[in-house]
Amino acid sequence: MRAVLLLALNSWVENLRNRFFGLVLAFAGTVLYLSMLLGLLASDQEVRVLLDFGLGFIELMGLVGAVYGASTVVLREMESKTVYMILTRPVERSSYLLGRYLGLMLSVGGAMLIMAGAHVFMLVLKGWAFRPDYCWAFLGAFLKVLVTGSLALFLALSTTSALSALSITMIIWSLGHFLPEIRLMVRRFGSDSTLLMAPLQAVSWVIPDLQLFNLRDRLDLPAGLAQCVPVGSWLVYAAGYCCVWLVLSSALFKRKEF
Amino acid sequence: MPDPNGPSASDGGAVLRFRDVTKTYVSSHLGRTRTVRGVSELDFEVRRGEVFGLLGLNGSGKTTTFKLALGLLSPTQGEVSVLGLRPRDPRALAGLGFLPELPWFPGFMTPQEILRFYGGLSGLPDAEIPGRVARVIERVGLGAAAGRRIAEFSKGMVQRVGLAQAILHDPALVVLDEPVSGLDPLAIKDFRDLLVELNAKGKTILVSSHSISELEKLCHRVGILKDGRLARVLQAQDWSGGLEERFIETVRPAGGAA
Amino acid sequence: MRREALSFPALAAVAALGLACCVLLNAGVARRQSWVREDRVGIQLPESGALESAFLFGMGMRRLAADLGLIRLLLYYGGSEDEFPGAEAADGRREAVEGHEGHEGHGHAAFDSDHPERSFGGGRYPLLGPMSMRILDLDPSYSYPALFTAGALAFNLNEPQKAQWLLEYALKRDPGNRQYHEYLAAVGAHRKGTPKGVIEILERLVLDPECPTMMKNLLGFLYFKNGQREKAIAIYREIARDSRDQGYRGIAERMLRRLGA
Repeated sequence: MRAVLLLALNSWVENLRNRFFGLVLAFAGTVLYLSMLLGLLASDQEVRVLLDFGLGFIELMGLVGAVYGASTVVLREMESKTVYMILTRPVERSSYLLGRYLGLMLSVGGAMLIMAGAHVFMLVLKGWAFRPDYCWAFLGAFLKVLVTGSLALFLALSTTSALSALSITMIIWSLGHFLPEIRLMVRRFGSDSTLLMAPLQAVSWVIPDLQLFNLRDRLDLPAGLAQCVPVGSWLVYAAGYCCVWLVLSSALFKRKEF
Repeated sequence: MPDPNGPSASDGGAVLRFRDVTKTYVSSHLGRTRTVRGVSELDFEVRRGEVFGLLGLNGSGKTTTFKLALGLLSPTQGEVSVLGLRPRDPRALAGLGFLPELPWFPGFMTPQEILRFYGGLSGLPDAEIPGRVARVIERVGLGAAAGRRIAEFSKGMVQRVGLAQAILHDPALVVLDEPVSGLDPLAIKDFRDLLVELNAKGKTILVSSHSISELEKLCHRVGILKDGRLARVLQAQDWSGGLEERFIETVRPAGGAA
Repeated sequence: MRREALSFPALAAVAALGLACCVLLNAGVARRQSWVREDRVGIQLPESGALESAFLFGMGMRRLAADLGLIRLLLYYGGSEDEFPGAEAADGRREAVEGHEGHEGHGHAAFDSDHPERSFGGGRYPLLGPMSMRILDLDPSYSYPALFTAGALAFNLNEPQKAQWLLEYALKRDPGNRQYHEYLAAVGAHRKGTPKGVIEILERLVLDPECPTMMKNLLGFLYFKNGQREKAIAIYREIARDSRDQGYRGIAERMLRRLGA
């Protein structure tokens, strides 16, 4: 556990001082500014546009940071032989992976929080009344990033190519948002075209249902998000998926030879 | 110059032992499998308190041998033991220190931060770490630069930081891969003196280098690898005529110049 | 650095374990999907913008896609009707439809539910209705664009039939939305030529914080025409103070000067 915390803290500090995250924050600031300009074009709906664009791009920036980080962190340390100096110490390989993953997610979560703070500040200036639904939407976005980050880590270790891991993760990210539609298609057409629907069905079983966490798209629910989110199942699903990919990553990494 | 007789197996036992070790790499591409022998039937030991050098041409199996000793690779056949344990046993790793060739550290960190990090990973108690870090920094001659960032360091200074992290936790066996690679003559001398001092304090050292003269000055015994096999093990008195000649006559292909 | 490939049996075991866990998790989710809203009518994406919509859906940005649609709609309505891409095609449809439909208000035109966008051909800003329908397809609960467009069609462009079609289209997607029923009533009152009826309904509609400024402006104008000066001043003051639309703030300020407030 100590090794996990040390590695997580080390990753967090490294990411803080890393130019990449500075660029992500600067880019996010630019995008938030652009959202304000777009909001002006939406006149009466300025606040809604600012809300949607801001939340969307905060999530996107979190995704980029998490997927890029997860795809490259271990591979980069393998190339620079930093991993040799760690693994030749009494550190479990699974602890190493978990520490690096947690550190990365802490960094990404922190960056997302900073962006969200700036976003809420701008919204309040525009006359928006803060609603707890915003926090739910943000949490949903972060859980998506957590799940996708763990998947990216697994893909990086199994493909040993950062580019492959990035590409496959983005494809799965997209498919994950279409899962309700995929399930609907399978239900409607499965009996008539079993062979054609079989790959879709397989996909619907395996990839994470990211639409589950997409509370940004449900901010209009009159009852409010808190009433509609089965929080327990939600968190179990996210934790379960992260655990699956982290355990598989750990199994791969334990067998890895350098 | 080390004692030409060196410590014998009867004095303190083997710290590192290779018993008939073979390592074969298997790679497959588009259905075709390729097998490459890394090392074959390696059988030797490194005795407690000695400095053992590993010499060989590029591709002779030095790196493979090191990685087998460090647990970064597993033998296809045979057995490797470190301090009487499996290489990946945490107790073995706790008694091992490793300096990779051309170590890399994040430029924004100071030697103190780096050593605190690696000290924690080595399992040192938190209360002990600051004192040990300070002593090791002085020992490797970085006292004046302790608070400066790695980005400002010369190659020789980075190499010293690498050695510091390898000996911080007072390991019984120190493994050094090309420790003087890229260093100027003065830095080489300083480094050699450090290693002699370490050995005088009872550390067992396994070192590889392309610099034959350095091994000549440092080692009690030298093993020469050729095509993945341990072609010869020389005692210090065996190369009194010059280690280079012994090396060349061992590795030169039969019948002519290399 | 050499890397040895993971042995096939080990890789297969690892993958099988992972797949099994994912199947279990997703099976649990699929059972509880009742709280995810299923589109009653089904998503109908028009050819134009399908790629963009698919991309944004893939990013989980359905609301954002609808927001972009609204911005385009407002830019279209705020600009010259011939500037917008597709206006030429709309002209072609206009000629075809006028031969069939005649001019607005004659009541012979029928709503083509298979190709709803064709029903809006003809008249000014022919793409207004189709653009609004596209937004409804993307986000059925987003009522503002439909209400704005219905208001524009009925009261500014004098095309109440199209406004009615649009509101009925919106109701199919969001049957519980009372605003659509109110707007239908307002359009009906406008068609009958009963401004007092329209005023009565608009007075309820403008209480909604999401009510388009255009409807408030319309109410102010109706008050002004009806000689209800104080009420007109009150509503124009509200627009001048609170509206985010610079155009309507300008109109409100001019009307306030005209009313001597």
